[in-house]
Amino acid sequence: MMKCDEATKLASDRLDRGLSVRESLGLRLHLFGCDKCRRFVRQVQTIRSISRHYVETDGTGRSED
Amino acid sequence: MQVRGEGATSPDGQAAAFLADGVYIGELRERMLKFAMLQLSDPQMAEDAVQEALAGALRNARAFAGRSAFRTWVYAILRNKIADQLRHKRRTANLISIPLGTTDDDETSYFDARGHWSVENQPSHWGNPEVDLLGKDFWRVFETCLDHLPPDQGRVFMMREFVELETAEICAEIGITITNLHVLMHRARLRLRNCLEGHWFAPKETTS
Repeated sequence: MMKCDEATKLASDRLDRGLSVRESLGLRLHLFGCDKCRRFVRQVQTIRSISRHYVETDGTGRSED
Repeated sequence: MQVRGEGATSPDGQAAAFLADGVYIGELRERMLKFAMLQLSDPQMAEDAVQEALAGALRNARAFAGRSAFRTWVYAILRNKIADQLRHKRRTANLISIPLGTTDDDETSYFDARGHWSVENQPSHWGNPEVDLLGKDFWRVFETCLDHLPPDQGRVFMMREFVELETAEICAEIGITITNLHVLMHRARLRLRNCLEGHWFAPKETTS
């Protein structure tokens, strides 16, 4: 069974590369039983959205119009 | 974003108003410079990229109805300029190699010896943050957390998530392997996650 350190690595990798079937399956299996890693997955996606938003609004967060 | 043909003017003349606002343009320029410096770590190149991006954007600026559309446009151009500069630098200059930390102590603390989350660093619930609604205070925290990433992680993270370069481009630019890149991204995300959680999303009460 995959451990949290490996699972978070794959969850991060998934944002930058495709996972193999085996990796993807292993990750899903781990996430099924691990709420902390499920949170991690959601949060790194949030961090990606935050980063995009930051660039678009250049650090002021909100549009001024 | 709508870009009208050149020479088009905003119906109400609104667009011209913010362009004539020297303070606004000055501030925008400052922020762009800061952004470019983080990516290029060379003042002259950053200056050039900002200059070109701003000049290019201003040529078409009358097409924009308001500040935020204009800013989005300026940053899109700036990101391209930075990507160009990085590619150019790669061709003309020596590779700047970022030494990968030999000690991965910053990573190991997130997990215990068995590979499970260590108690003090395990993810808490963040609620369901609406990115659009995050205010000024949050962005300050975000910038601080970014600043606290180790330089190699911060640079790779920003190239990937801000400039949106492909992983292969980043590797070629910095002279690291794809495996290294993924390791750096993983560490950066762990660290950033931890920092944002502790300082914003789920600040810890005094840990007992």
